[in-house]
Amino acid sequence: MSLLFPALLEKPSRIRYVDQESDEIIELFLRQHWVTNVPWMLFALLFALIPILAANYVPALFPVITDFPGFVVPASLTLWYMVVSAVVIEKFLHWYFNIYIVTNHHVVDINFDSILHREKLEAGIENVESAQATIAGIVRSLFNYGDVTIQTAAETQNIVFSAVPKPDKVVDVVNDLRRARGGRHVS
Amino acid sequence: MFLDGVSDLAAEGFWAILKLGFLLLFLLYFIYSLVVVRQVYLMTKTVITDVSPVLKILGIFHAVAAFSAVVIFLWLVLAG
Repeated sequence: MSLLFPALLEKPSRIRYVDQESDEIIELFLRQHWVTNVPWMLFALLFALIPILAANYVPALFPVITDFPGFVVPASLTLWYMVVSAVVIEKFLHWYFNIYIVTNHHVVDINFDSILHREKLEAGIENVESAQATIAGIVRSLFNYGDVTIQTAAETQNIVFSAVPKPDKVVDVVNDLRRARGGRHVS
Repeated sequence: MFLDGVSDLAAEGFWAILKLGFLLLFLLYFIYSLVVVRQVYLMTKTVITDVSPVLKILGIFHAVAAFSAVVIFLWLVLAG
């Protein structure tokens, strides 16, 4: 998954985002670490396997099922897998399009909280006051991912990059860019 | 005998309602798949990557599959 859909890209040349300025260069392109997808993937796999595993036992446990009209079992199975695929699609799109971008001009957080809700937070790199990395927990330490909190000037919200890979490196890049642009005091 | 007739009618009514319920759920899923297509289109306009066209095609393929499920179910019900 990390090869197909990388969670951290440095200076990607073939990626652009909406409202990107002509002289703006993407320094870091981030998503949540792929490990964050493992719980829902395991649940989806389990739910996909349930009908296959139950196929041998259901007719024995509920003999009445053999008297059902022909459409009931295939339609029920189709609906079951539709629900599983809806969850998989929703979770994948949520992960794939929740993106954090650091450019030479801005820090951008694009959120797709649900399939019908989009939010874009953006702060000028010169307005960044501090950047802080937090890695808490065994899994996060093991896979080296965590949160990066970017404090910005009062008029803009703080931006949090949640569960991103190599948070220390992200903080370094943000701080280097901020210094280069003559930003506020160093954290 | 009368009660048997009533019971048969009730059973037929039950299966008819179930068919309608299934059809409604398949249609809802088809609508959901169209929402996914629209959302993928909007998302790929927000972030442009090499994978964007592939995601759009997958979204359309998913919607076609959902529509096929509606058609196949209708065919099964009408044929049965």
